[in-house]
Amino acid sequence: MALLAARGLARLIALVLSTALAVAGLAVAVFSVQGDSSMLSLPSLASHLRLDDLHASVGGFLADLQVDGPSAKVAALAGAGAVLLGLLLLFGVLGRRRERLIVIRSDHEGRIAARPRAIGQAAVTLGEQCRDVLRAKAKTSTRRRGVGGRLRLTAYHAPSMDGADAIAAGRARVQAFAESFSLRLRMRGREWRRGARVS
Amino acid sequence: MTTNPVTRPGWREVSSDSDPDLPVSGRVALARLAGRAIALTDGVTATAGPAGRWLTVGPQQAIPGVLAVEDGHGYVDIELHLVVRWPPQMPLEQLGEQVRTRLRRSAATARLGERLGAVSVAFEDVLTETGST
Repeated sequence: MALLAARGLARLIALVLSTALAVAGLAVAVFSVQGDSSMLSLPSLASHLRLDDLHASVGGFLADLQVDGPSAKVAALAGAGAVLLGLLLLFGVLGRRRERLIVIRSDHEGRIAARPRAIGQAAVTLGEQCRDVLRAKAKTSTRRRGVGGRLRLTAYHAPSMDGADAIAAGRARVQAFAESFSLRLRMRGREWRRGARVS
Repeated sequence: MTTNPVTRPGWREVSSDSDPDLPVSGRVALARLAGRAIALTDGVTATAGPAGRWLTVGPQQAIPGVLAVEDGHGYVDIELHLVVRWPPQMPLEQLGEQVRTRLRRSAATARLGERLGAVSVAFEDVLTETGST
């Protein structure tokens, strides 16, 4: 979750910064067409951006930064924050999300495992093969250590049908499948409503 | 002028049929044996994955579904990436073990058994009766 948030933030900042850089580059290119103090010259650009005014307004703050005081402390905190933000962005850019596999067996000779997403989709397909089940939704989770995991299957049934029957029918279809992957099966039934979102 | 690189002079098309006389490294030889072990096992097929990441490239041959990695001591670890047909003829653990055993036997026959390291099996997808999941 943290990685996803960091990755989203990194992409947003990269987009904003690259856009700003492109606009700044375009402005410099346009204002390099003429020289001296013509309208499309770099001194003219500096004048448009009021760089002299900017220096006059922040010059005092920069002078305060050079000596100990409240401004220096704020600047130090801001610097530390910038470093943390940079690390977060690096984490977002370089971090890799690795899907954990459901381990069926593991020993010194190697590992026999399966991909949770494929197992979930197959469980849905098998569950929906029952006449009593209109739709199915699966969620698989792996154990951090050791073999196996958990498969939670929700069977959506018609309002006119008993939920217990739908669960029993779905379980009969999926139980052997779950056991073959060392998964503990949990099933629940839900009434299907028209227009309801399943996934 | 052609835009097809394999028809240019000096280019060769990579096919799945390898030349048995062409010398290959122990790593590629073990990957080939792994590919054969998968092909000989009923109920499973090899998959290179959606991005084609899981394959070993040897001379004139790419072996899909097999990742062979050689460590600094000369041992070759093998990863087998498989699609299993459901329902399988035997429990999946047993099915995975069958592929591993087949590979170890053929490696021993080819005098490459001592170089074979860990053999991992990953079931990447399940093929049910109604189609691929």
